[in-house]
Amino acid sequence: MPMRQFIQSMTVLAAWTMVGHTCPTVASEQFDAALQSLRRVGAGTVSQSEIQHAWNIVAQGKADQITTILAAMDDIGPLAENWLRAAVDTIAERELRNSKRLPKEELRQFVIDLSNPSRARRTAFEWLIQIDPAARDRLLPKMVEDSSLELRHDAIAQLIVEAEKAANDDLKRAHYRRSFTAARDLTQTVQCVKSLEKLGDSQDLEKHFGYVTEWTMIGPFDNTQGAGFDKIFPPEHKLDFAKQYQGKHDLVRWQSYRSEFQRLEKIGLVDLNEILIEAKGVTAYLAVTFNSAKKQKVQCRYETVNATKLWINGELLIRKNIYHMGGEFDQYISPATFLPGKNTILLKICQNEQTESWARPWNFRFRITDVLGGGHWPIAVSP
Amino acid sequence: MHSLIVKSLTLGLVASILANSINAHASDWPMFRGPGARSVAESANLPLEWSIADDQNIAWRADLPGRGVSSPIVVSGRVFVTCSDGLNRSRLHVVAIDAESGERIWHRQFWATGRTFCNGTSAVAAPTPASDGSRIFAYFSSSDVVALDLDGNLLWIRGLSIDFPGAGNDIGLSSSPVVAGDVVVIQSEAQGNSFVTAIDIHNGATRWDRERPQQSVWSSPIVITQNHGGKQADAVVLQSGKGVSALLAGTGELLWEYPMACSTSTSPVFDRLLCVPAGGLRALDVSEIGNSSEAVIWAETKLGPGYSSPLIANGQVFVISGAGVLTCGALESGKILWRRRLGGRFWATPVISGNYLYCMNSEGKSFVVQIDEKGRIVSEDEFGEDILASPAIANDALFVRSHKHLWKIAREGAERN
Repeated sequence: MPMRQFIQSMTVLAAWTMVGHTCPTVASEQFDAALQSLRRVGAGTVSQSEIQHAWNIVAQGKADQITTILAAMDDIGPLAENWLRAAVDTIAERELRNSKRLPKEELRQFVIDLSNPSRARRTAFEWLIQIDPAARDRLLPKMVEDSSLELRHDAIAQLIVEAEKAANDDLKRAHYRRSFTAARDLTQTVQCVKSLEKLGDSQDLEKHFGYVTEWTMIGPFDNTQGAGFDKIFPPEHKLDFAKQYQGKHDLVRWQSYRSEFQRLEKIGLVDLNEILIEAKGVTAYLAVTFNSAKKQKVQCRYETVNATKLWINGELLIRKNIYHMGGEFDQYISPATFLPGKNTILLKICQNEQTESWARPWNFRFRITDVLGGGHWPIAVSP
Repeated sequence: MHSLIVKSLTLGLVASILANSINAHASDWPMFRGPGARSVAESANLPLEWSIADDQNIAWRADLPGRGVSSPIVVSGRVFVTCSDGLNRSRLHVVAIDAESGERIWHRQFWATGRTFCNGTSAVAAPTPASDGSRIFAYFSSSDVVALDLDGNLLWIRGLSIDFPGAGNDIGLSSSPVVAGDVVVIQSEAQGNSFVTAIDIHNGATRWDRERPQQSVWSSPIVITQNHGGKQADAVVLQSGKGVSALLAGTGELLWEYPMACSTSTSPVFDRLLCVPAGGLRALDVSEIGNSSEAVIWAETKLGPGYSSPLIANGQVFVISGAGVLTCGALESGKILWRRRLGGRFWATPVISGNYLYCMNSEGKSFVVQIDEKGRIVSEDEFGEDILASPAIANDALFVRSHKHLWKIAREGAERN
């Protein structure tokens, strides 16, 4: 367990004792060792039998060990998080059934400490409001910009309810604006945008989402029987926007495109059926070059029903040979690093030869965000 | 043809459906479509009518913590239900409810490790869990598999999208796992990464896996016993758009395959003959596959199921079309015996007890149909909520779940097990 969590646990322990409770069971060496084993789940360094044994020990823990287990969620993999969550739930259920008591103040402190892992804070919050339902209304108003997206979502939901009930339009507008700015969930964002529209307020959706709307594109190249997905066409070798190449039918050359859609339903949409001639068995490339003033860690997020490959600065980040199996907001997400100076985004998007009406779309929406999904575009696009 | 039928019926004694009876009680409903995936409870004493509005023959109604189109399963007096909800549908739930009282016994929650997109009518909790009688294997569309004992103690977890990158599709998976011997078999077929894998029920280790056609499939496997090297062995029957095949459950060895354009959404059913939704319904004598071109005993386009799966009982086969028409055919010949228009769209596969078929359409309307009276509708009711999950029968009760609730329907005053 990292030192920070250990100190934190000890601090909470001391506070717990000072307010008159009996001293909780001090974690045994066996308990700590088991906790460490569960933290290593997914790293390939612990056997299944060891995991099972460790979980049985940790799940036998007491109520006052819950936050110690939650703190152990720091910087671990998703499978390890689930093992620890199951242990916490098992302990909390048992304690509530047997003694009807959980360490309320300890849980509250854990929730409000932003240095704790997001999912651990969320778990603590869920158990806290089981024993103290009013804590929900006390804590959520301060979580509208929380780094835990689950807590932020609930806080915004509560703020939207407040906006709906607000006595006047100015107050409604203020609540909706704050909700919109903080929202990372699409449904909540849509709800805020529509409510603000009714109040005569329009938002910069392109910037909010971080949609990339200006592209340089070339195509169509041949994708008969899907073979174009793996075939390396010239743009994959080298980006030279002055050159023209043999496409599927004719010579093709790079052209500029800007998505002008402003309505929420189509904001950021790049529809290749509209830009190029609607065709089947084709592929196209779209590129963006831009300057970044510094090294930046971002996320590339896009939705499409077409097969795609995504490169950032020549590195292949996403490869999805999937057609017409649902197109959803933020369907594909990859972390990426922008370097100081010139950077390049290159997207290859393929259309297959299905003839059903629902297989017509050949389009995408692409955005650059921070790690929580907040729009992070444009970034000093070069002329 | 006749000799084939006789032979197949005789072989039916040998190639009988596996009832997943490792530790299961006779009255359990341990998997999607119940024992043997046949949707049949031979001797349950169910009510022939009920009323949600008037609370007639409704033993209890329990709240559920999230959405789901997975079926409830019933093991050792407990009902197990999976649900999903939360931000991006990423919270997975497994709930154990006391079958007698409707009280929640335990509730475990997990975060999805794989893709959580799905059609708006469905849920990440779409596959029905399976049990060997002492463990629950909960599988989700996010490609997460969780094994718990009946008291909610975690035994193992697998995130299949970690082991099989690209697993799943963004409409949602729904194929339910099956237990065969000491493995739980999961069919995960999609464009991104298509496979079937057998996981050791004791420790969660992969026993074997096989690539599958790169096409989305929502149908569920079934388990039959087959002669292999002079011994009876569990075989997993898998259906895809390219055909139906059987793999040895213990090793993944291909026993046979039969190419045909099968339905990718409904599931096969086996009772002496293997009935496969494919251009209607086709009945196969599995003992003849590979030996004879006459493995298909009959094919009937008018027995094509819509969204729910076919079922077999009393020597008859039943399907509900996409238009909500219930059709009964003779198992031996495929001859149409009767039809009854129920109306609505049926995602939930009906269940049979005795001479009665219990059907629920997606709008939440229920029908009790007498199958020895040419489909006479005995009673109807309304749940008032969408019903997409197939019901379960156990302990003389019918268990029906919506996205919000689980109902137990049982005769009032009847002695409860």
